[in-house]
Amino acid sequence: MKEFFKCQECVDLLTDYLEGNLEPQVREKLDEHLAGCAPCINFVRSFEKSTTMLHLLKEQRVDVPSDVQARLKNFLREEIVALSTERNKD
Amino acid sequence: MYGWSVDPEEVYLNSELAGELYEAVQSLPFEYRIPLILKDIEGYSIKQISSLLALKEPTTKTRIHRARLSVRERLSHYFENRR
Repeated sequence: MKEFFKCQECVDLLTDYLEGNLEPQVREKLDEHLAGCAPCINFVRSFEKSTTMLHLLKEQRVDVPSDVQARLKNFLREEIVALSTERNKD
Repeated sequence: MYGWSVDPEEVYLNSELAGELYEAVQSLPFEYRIPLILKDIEGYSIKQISSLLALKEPTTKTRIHRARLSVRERLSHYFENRR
């Protein structure tokens, strides 16, 4: 007997679904559910819209705690060093 | 100055929405807020964020997913009014 997804299962998989990270058979099952579930379709659309709109905040100031800022700077510095080391090998 | 092709209502809605988005993101608990900011606003990869925050990649993904669900929930009235 064929198994169908429940709405909550679809919600749980939305990020992977929209980013194309689902196994083909799982994606197919989710598509089958969406084809017959209007509330889930609306949910997917609003989830996708709110996620893509987050870039609007790029222009605004969003507070990042100072310790995370410091770790971010260290992390980026290490990334740059790693990248230049890699380039020097070539 | 905006050109004729820009809909002033759309511009207003976008600025209003940006404010609501900001509030929605700021209201998230710290452990969800930071991964979301780094992924969806700053554009870092899951791998980079996991390394930066010392999290396992599945944990980072789960936190981002939950943060996105929470942001969507906060903005649900906006989507219902626009449907």
